[in-house]
Amino acid sequence: MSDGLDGSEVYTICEDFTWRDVNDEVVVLNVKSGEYFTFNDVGRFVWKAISSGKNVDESVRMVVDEYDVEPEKAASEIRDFIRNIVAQKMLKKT
Amino acid sequence: MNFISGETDELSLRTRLWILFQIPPLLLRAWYIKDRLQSLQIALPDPGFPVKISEKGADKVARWVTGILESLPFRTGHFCFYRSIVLVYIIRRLGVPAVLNIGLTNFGARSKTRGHCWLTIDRRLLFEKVDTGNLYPFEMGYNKTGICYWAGSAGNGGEGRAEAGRVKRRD
Repeated sequence: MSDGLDGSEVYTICEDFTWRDVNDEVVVLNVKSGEYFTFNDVGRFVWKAISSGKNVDESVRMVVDEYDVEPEKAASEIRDFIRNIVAQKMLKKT
Repeated sequence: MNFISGETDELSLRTRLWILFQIPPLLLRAWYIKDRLQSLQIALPDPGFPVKISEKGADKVARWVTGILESLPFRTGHFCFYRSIVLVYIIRRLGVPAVLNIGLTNFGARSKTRGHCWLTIDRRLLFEKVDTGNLYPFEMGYNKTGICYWAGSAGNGGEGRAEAGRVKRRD
């Protein structure tokens, strides 16, 4: 893919990170650095899908089924989101 | 330097003097690392140092040092952070494996994110006035260097969060 993400890729959470559901958000912690991250409702949905073993395309489909959003827009934004958190080294390819 | 032989509840004059000399450089260290927490990755001293105090002695150190810090003529804010950094270094150097706890809450609005630092020994609060168990109930993870991270309830803001679009759930 031109954006560097293969839709069939599956990701796992890197060892330095832990996460918890805190009310309506996911709070992710880099235990090594002490850096916290939070995701909103959709980010949480994608995070849970990806961390449960869904690939990028499956995650997009799940979001489109769950939320009122155009498939193209969802795919674009979710890929941006995943690229972002991969760049933060929260996720790695399996 | 070995001021105390064996574990003791009491703080001798020499121990108190040793602690007094630790405070200024530790305050400077806390000031230096406060804004660099995520890049420095604090390395707390190994509590295996030969000088020993008991946990009761650690309580006395905490009360005494807190009193000294509270009486200082200058205040910079973030008192809990300065106090915790100074204490965790001193107490660990005295042989007690105190844990530095860092809790953050109200993540939803980053500008209003609040935090607190406190110390525990074997999960027991060390001279702590804040109800940390209620404010920061979610244990996020323990760093093997002696730091434990906690989270409180999230807020409802939206500023500063990593987001994958703003859309509504289907009905």
